[in-house]
Amino acid sequence: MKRRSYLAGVAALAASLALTACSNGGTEDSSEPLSGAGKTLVVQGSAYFLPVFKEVGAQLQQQLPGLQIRYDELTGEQETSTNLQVVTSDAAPDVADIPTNLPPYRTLLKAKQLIPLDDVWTADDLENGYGKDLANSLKAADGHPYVVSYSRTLYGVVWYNKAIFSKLNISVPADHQIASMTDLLTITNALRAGGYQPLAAGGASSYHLTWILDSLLPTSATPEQLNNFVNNFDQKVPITVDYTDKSFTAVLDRLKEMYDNKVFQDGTLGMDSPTTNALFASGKAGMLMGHDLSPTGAKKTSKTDLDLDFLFLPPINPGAKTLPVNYAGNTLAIPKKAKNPAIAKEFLKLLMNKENQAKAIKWSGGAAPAIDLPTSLLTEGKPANEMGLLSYGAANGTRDGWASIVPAKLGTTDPYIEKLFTGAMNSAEVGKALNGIRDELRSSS
Amino acid sequence: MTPRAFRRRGTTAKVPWPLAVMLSLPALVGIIIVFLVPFIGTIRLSFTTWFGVGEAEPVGLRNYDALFSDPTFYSSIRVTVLYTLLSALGIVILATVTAMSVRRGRLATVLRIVWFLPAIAPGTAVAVFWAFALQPVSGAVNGLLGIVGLGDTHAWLASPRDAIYVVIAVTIWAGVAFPFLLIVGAIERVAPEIYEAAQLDGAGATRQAFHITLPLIRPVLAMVTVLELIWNFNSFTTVWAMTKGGPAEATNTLPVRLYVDAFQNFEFGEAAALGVMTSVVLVVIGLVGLRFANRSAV
Repeated sequence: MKRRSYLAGVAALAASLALTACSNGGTEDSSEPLSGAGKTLVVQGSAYFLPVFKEVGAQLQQQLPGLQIRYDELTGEQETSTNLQVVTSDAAPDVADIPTNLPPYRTLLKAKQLIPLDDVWTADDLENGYGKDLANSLKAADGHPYVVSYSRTLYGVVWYNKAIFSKLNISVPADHQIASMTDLLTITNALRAGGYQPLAAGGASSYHLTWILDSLLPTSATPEQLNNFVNNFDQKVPITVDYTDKSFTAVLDRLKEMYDNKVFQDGTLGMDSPTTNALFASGKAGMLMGHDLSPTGAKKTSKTDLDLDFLFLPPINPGAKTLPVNYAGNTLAIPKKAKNPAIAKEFLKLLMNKENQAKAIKWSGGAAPAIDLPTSLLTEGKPANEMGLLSYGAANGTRDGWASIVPAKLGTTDPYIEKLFTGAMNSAEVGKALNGIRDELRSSS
Repeated sequence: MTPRAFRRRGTTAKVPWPLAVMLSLPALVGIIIVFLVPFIGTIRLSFTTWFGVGEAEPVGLRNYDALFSDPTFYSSIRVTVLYTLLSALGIVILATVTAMSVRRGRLATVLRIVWFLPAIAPGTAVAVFWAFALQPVSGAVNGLLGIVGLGDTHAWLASPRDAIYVVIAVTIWAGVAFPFLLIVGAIERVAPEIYEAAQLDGAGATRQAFHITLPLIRPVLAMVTVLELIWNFNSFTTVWAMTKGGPAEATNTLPVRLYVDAFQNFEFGEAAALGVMTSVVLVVIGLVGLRFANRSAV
């Protein structure tokens, strides 16, 4: 009798330990072959990329019969804010949308709430696919990667409506480069005279104005200065250039010059991203500050086949070229509390293989792949204007966006630019404020 | 329990304390769980640094120090006070005037429904609708102004000077319905004989409003005013959905600031310090309001 109750006690203890293991997210035994039966994979993503994830998910379901997949769409607001609580909760997704330049990523790393993805990187040779610089920037301080970057966004691009330009006889430079402020004002004044709003930018979006700063900063700062701006929030990197330096304030002054000369649409400071996109899509504005997926969004909104092409804003230093800005922070991670981490890794491996990265361009409607791909794969089914931007980037190069790398607290400069526009601050004061945030980040890094 | 256990004085009754405790217990437990525990937790959090997950790190008074040494905190207070006072006063005045206007007459019932309609719409939908409607060129309001020759490029939400007043106007429009109902109810409780007597004495509608209606509904007006002050001091939805605190922080009220600190910058300690400060102000408003309401009721 005593022996029986002892065994029952051991069994109960074993059962409770097993249950505890389950509740910590470890429901999969890595030694067993994966099975999809009775399992539901939860995948988060933004509206732009869910079509890609659904295609990849369908492939995974063929590999693992019986697997159900739930796709949770996240807004930009959720990515920045409440998703941290979701990812660390017991209802955590298996594949979480965690952009690396937003606060949740660093918070999750600090709290050790993400699973290392070395095996996913190895399976798809992402170290070489990303290239050394990007690969290093995607790894955490311990040298391990906890995210995969599944798409580069090319932003800081001015899309223009060819029909409006043609109607008003506005000529555009063949090399897509607006050479000077005079040339830009010629275009915007012609648009206004023709009854159209000029450059639509969401001054209340909290990021459109920073996109412009990001696209112009490399035309003002030297590569060494830019490199220091990007990294000197980390106390290990010595400060060689301040935000009060002319290379930075000249960009702010240019933004102010654009605002004062009515380059932006009326009421830009009261318009967020959807309102701005709607203005452009409805044919009331001639140009839009956007990214490589903007044409897809505009076409969806307008429900007509808008004929668009792209331009770049005039550089700060004459002779420099304004190039598409590269954002590699479209990243996915697997939370520690994920219920199906092994299946989630298979999903990421599928998403990151070369064939799917190439197909993702078409599935998403124009997003640039995260890894270097052979040209033969790149051209597959790509819409003409986005392909043009992608080819332009491939031929002329792209720049890393300062704001897409530094922590969001430093990189979210829109509120300061708004104050610059309204005269509440000048460029030197904005620079001083950014120095203060940088120093605060250094002291806590 | 016998009726003698209750001792009446005026309208209040003394209840034996064991029964009083027993009757109050469910409410007390509720208050402790949904108010006291979170509030104490917030006070504790305000003395720490916490990024949303992991352990909170004690930092003493650093969050309060950071708050008081930040000039934008004081501009947020100014914006919040302006927003609260104008919204609350606007709502109470408009609700009172409209409630009086539907006291009688053929259209009274229809007008009551019309005035209550904004309360049915969700707050976020109302704010987003108005944010779109007020845009230059593409907005409905500007469109109408353009048709009557007043121009269609007014960019109120883009102006740091005007944006707060536009948000206040929308807050009033959306918030007037509930106080309107309360005040209509209070007016209906005024005995018709009083108005009849006043009419016989030659008092017109205006005189009746100022000398009969308003004095007799004063307790309700006081309560509604206090509630509106508290609600608008805490109001987040309309401001966030319309301006997100911009442009140039011109509408950056304390609740918006708190949200940004907590859920965009993940500085929960600083956000908690701001929450504690806000609570202190609200408690003061509440106590003053209660005292005023009690006096009005005498």
